[in-house]
Amino acid sequence: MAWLNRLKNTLLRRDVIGQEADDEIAFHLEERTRENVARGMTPTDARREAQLRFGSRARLREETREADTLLWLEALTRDSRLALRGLVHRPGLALTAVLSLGLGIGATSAIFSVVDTVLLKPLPYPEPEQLVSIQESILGQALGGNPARLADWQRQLPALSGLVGLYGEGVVLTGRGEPRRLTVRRSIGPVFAVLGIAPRLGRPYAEWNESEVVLSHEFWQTHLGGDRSILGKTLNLSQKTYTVVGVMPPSSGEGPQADLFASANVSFNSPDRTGNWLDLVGRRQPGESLERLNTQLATVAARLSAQYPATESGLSARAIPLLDADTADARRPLWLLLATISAVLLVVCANIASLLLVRAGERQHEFAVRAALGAGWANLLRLQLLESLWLSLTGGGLGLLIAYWGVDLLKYILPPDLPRIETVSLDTRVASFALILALVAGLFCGLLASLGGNPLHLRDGARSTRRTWLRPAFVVVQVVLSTLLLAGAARFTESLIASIRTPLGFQAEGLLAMSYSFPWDTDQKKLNETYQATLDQLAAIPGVRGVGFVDQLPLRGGTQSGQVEVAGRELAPILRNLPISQRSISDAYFTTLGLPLLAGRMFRPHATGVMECVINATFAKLYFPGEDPVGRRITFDTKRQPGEAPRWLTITGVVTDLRQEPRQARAAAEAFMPFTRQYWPLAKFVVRGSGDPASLMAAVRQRMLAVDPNLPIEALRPLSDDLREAASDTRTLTGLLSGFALTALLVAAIGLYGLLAGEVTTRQREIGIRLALGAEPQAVLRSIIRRGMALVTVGLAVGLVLCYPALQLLTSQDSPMTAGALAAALMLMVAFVSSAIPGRRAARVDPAIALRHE
Amino acid sequence: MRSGSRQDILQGTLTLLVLQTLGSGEKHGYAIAQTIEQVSKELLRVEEGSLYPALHRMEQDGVIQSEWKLTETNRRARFYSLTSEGRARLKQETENWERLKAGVGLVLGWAQ
Repeated sequence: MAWLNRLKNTLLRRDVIGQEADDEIAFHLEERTRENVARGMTPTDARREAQLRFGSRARLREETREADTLLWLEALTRDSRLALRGLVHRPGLALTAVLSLGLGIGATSAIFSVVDTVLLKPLPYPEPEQLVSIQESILGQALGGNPARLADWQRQLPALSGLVGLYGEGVVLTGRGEPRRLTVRRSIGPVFAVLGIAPRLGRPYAEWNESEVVLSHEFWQTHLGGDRSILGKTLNLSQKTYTVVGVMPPSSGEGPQADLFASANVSFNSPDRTGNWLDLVGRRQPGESLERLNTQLATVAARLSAQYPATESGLSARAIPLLDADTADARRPLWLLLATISAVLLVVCANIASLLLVRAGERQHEFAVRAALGAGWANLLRLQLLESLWLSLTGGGLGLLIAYWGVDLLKYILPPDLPRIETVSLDTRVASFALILALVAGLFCGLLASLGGNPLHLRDGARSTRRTWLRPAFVVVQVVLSTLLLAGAARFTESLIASIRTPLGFQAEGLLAMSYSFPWDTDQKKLNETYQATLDQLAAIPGVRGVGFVDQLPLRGGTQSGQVEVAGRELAPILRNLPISQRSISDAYFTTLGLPLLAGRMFRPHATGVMECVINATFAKLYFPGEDPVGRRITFDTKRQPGEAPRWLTITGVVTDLRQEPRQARAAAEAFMPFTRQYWPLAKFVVRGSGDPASLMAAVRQRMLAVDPNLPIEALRPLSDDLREAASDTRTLTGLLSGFALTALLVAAIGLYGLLAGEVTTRQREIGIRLALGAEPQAVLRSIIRRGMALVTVGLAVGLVLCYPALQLLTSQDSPMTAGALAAALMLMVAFVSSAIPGRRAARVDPAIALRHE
Repeated sequence: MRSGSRQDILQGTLTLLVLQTLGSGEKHGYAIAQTIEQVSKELLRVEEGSLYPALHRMEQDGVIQSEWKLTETNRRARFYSLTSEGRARLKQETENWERLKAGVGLVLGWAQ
């Protein structure tokens, strides 16, 4: 702990240490002198001899002190004081640097905290790196897990210590106050062992025991008051009785949290291989690599593919870390945001380096004096670096404060379905990140500024050693980065605008949306009856002009999909494997939306003998180019046994395309069938009234009581609200990226302005002489603008060349021409303004004043 | 000032000598230098310029401790004494020195 003691001495006992060293030396000298006198020397000689033996007293004192203290720290504090004093004398520089670095570091740290929590922190399970997600697909099309296939995987993958299938289900709790909708996470397999979790109270539920349930800690606390006697009591969930056998520990916010945990429905304990809806989560054996697991998966997939050609032909599967699977959708946008804001920070740093470079130029005289007094090159560099470090550390402190609010802001604006987003906070990891960022930024700026030349050479007045091209080079780099960011943001904005402009194909105003759902094992008859009763009740509300059922609202994605066959035709392989959406609707859905039929007529839901369907325009274009599809027959029944006749669907009409996703450029091929023929327990309804849709809400609630008083209604709101929300993720990302890009542009513009303004000031005399000799002010203005535009053009050219591969990486589609052109136009415009302002000042230089200058 | 027969103390052995000197009781810096010179019959000479930095370093390392006290002549001086760690160090350094001496002796004997 010697260094700790030394640190204490340095900070607290500096004066005492010095004094004690002096006393000790003085005592020694006196003793020696006295002895010398005793030996017969004269007092003067005695003293002289003692001092000569001792050597330099000042050096000794320093060396003694060095043993007791941290001298370098002392030098550092002394130089820091000097640097701080220097900065206080330049409040403009200091304030600009601290504010811009603070904003940059703050924003970067805030975004890092989201990246860290969502993408980097391990999952809250023991040995989380062993957990994998098994992702199955057939011919490249993703496939959910199936219970019978899960059993095969469980038996045939030695690299796994356990594998489970999970799915969520909505249930309704009754008998405890108002009916309440809850989510149950159901499992097949040893879920507690695989995840490494255990109930805090009671015991896990037994597998395939449908009457046991384990409560989440949050549900237990908020809805049951943390009552410990709940164990052994019963809950009524969707008309079934469950016994509470356990309570889980509090969740640490991993993903969407379920209220209850229970076994899968017993009916799924069967060899049926048709349904595919499970999420498969496995745990690797310790010591087994992901590669080995994937090799085993490939072998077993090939075996299953051959064994069950009807359902599993072309099956493949791969394992990826569970964390990656959970965050797959968030990965790209979040890294993109972090990369963008880091680029903005870099542009900011270039500006600060430029400012420091100017300052170094101004300090030539001071440095020359210091050098003359014995300061070495290293001392002067330390002084310069300390100045930029103090700026960046102060900026970092401010940045932490900004990040503190930034995190809250990000939690508010980022999509709430980002995994673990609610647990994002400013923790020590983020604080260290901010600190490191500040240090790196400080060193970076300081070193860049010191590239301006060795300050020792400056005293020779050798101006040639100053690298005058440095500041223009900074501006060029800033322009390159800003161009890239602008082009990226423009690309996103472009596709956002395109998606907004693409007509929905129907009138969303005036529509009310509503949804409710049943558990996945509800029988079809019950669903059909409830859906029909809902349609009838809502249609009877006065003022309602149309009511329709649909499996999923517009822009909210598709539901089920599968490969299609066309009667009497061999399809090209690409068409045969294309996943086609199978949608279920009521016959009045299209008329309620106001979506026109392009050909034929609507299906008849209860047509006898035949099953009818309607396809959309994209479907018709892909499968029946140049033909009339009405009357043709198609089937999705591709998994039948060989020789068995498929269930054919007769096409009765073609309907206008409707986009499934907000950012979709082209509509997907879809086929619409009567809801009575498709199984889908997650019901959505649209209601068209004559006026404000919100005015119908009370009546809708009232009527739903007549359908089923225990059925909780969800998401009752105008459809336009739903559509806006569906597109909000894209809008948020685009907004943030554009904001960052514009910030970079602004900072680069300030950099350019600063450079040119500085040049005009130093050239004031020359410009004055030129004007006095008859140069046109306009020509002076033009020359300054030309200089600015030349720099920007270089940066722009490099930026545009780079933005081509960068944008290709970002969005695989189309060429980035428009985005690049937009970025270039914006950049040139802003550059023109930032060069014209100093240019005008140059043109207005009064020749007389300029000549008297100096 | 230096006589040819006197040896400046070898780098690194100063620590050993200081520890050994303090083994017989606490002393101030001047007394340490005097003791080393007298005991070695003036064969060794302590470079006074390096004695005090060494003493302070040793104190920071925890092998010796110091205290301001009055001398017999009633003057204030800083007295150094061994810590328990210092005693252990003395033992170890002495062994090291013996080994070194033996090694050097062997090599010299072999060369002759």
